[in-house]
Amino acid sequence: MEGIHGIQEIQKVDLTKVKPYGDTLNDGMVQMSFTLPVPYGDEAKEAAKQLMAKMGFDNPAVVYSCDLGIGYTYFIMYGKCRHTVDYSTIQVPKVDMEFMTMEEVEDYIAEKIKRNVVVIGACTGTDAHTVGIDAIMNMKGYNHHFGLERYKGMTALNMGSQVTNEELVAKAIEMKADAILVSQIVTQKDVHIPNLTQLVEMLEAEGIRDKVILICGGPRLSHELAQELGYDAGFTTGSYANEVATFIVEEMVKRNMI
Amino acid sequence: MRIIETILQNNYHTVSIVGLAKNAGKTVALNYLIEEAESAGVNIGITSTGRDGENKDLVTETHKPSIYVAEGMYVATAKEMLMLSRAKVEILETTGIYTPLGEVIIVRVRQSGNMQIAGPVSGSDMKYVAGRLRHYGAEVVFIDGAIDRKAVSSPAITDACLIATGAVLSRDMKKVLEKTAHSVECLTLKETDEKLKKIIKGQNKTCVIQNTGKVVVPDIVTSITGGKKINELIDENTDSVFIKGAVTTSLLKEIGESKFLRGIKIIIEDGTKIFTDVNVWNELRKKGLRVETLNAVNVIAVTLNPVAPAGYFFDSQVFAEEMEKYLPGVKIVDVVSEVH
Repeated sequence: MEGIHGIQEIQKVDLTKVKPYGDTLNDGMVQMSFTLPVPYGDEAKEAAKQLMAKMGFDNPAVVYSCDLGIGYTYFIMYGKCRHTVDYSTIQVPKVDMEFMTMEEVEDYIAEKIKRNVVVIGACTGTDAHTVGIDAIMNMKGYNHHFGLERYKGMTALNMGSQVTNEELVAKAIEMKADAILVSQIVTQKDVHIPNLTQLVEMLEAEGIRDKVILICGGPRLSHELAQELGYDAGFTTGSYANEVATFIVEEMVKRNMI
Repeated sequence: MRIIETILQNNYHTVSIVGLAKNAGKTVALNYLIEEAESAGVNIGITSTGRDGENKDLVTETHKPSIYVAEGMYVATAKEMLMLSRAKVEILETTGIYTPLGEVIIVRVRQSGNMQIAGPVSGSDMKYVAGRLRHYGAEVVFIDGAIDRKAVSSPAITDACLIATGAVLSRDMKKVLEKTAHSVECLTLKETDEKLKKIIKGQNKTCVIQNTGKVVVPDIVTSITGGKKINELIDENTDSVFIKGAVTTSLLKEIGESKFLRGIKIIIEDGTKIFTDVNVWNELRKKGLRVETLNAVNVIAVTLNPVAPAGYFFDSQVFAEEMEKYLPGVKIVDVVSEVH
């Protein structure tokens, strides 16, 4: 460990000018892949290189290309990034709290809420990718973190994929949900944005927006974006059920939803 | 007449700016209002149901306008935004309302500068905060919307609204004109007569009103799934149907199947409750659907942004003229090119 520590001191990472690391610090090396709608061949490779140069990469190189048929070609490219970012000034709002474990959440519910917490979740709109909502809700959980269905003191319903906002709102009213979890994983042309805002608007229209804790999650969502969307929290990739559960139960107590 | 004069003359205290899409020009419209208010010497309060004044859009990465707040203005914004503020402020109140960006704080600007604004996300909290801004001394409170969220323009929350629309809605100008006209139509539906209003307010539930004045309340949890049951209660003696809450496509379709459709009126709370697909709406209108509202939204103006972040733009003169044809009697302001 000391050795590695020593190297870092010699090379000195300048956090105000960070760029990608390949073999040596600040070489700017980037690997990327994409497909072009042109037939496989030398012209295709040249097109890929020119495109990467336009993106602002120096020394673009094709390290792999493959004929996808029907006149399409797939590429893996290397190139050197010219740009840097100032890491020292970056601030990303996150759900900022000490997360409880599953057992701690269960005790918290028993002590402070003293009734079953009703949570419903769904993957809404056209999205059929349930990995996110399943990781948070399914009993077996994900990566050694059990899902909300296993929590004592919680009634958790996972409505699955391609649920319309109407169905979700109707179910929330029927079950008197305390929290609604919405997952958006893969969406085309940013349709997840109006889809998420429509849910907020529908809850407002039904007069229950302040009676539920509204949470969105997915790789393209963040706690910061949740503000604009009108949600109470946003969880991104790498979040676990106990984190979402902590937010729900503490928020319920804070808002006196007991 | 300038927008601020319209606001003062009509005694509007809270004005929302809602957009029909992301990047429709809400923040530009807000800055336009701020400038008008400043030159007219009107003391204002500002807040946002989303987030304003950040440099880059979180979804499209496009550049966004900043918000310059002048000395004496009142602002409600989240704590984390306050930390980044260039303006110097005096804290008047910590509201206890939390957003993803921290607690909403009410401040008075002491030294002008740029500021990011992010207020309460829910309608009821927004109403409270707007009231507090007024309490501290703001004559008019401007509430900026977020993305395409319109709930804040409900008469239950704000007195009047500006609608921001623009090229971002579609590359096809006709589609932009149609969508905008539909949104304005929904918000400014004819208000129902006082007699019916009184009956409905007495119920405050989805109900079917007969010609005799008799009211039948269907046994439903929410109108969203109650279309069939509502439909069953409609007969030749039905005068009107009041829908509380969201008016969805499936609900209207189910009511639209009634053979007595031509004889009845649908009454809704206000235009922000409509979630109906435009095509279904127009089709039912042709079949004889009549819709009235308990409260019409006061639309002060429609603002135009002829430029889309995707890189295309409309001729601003033509865009404004066409919009005037689609929305006769509505004030149209091109806040980006300022042709009007």
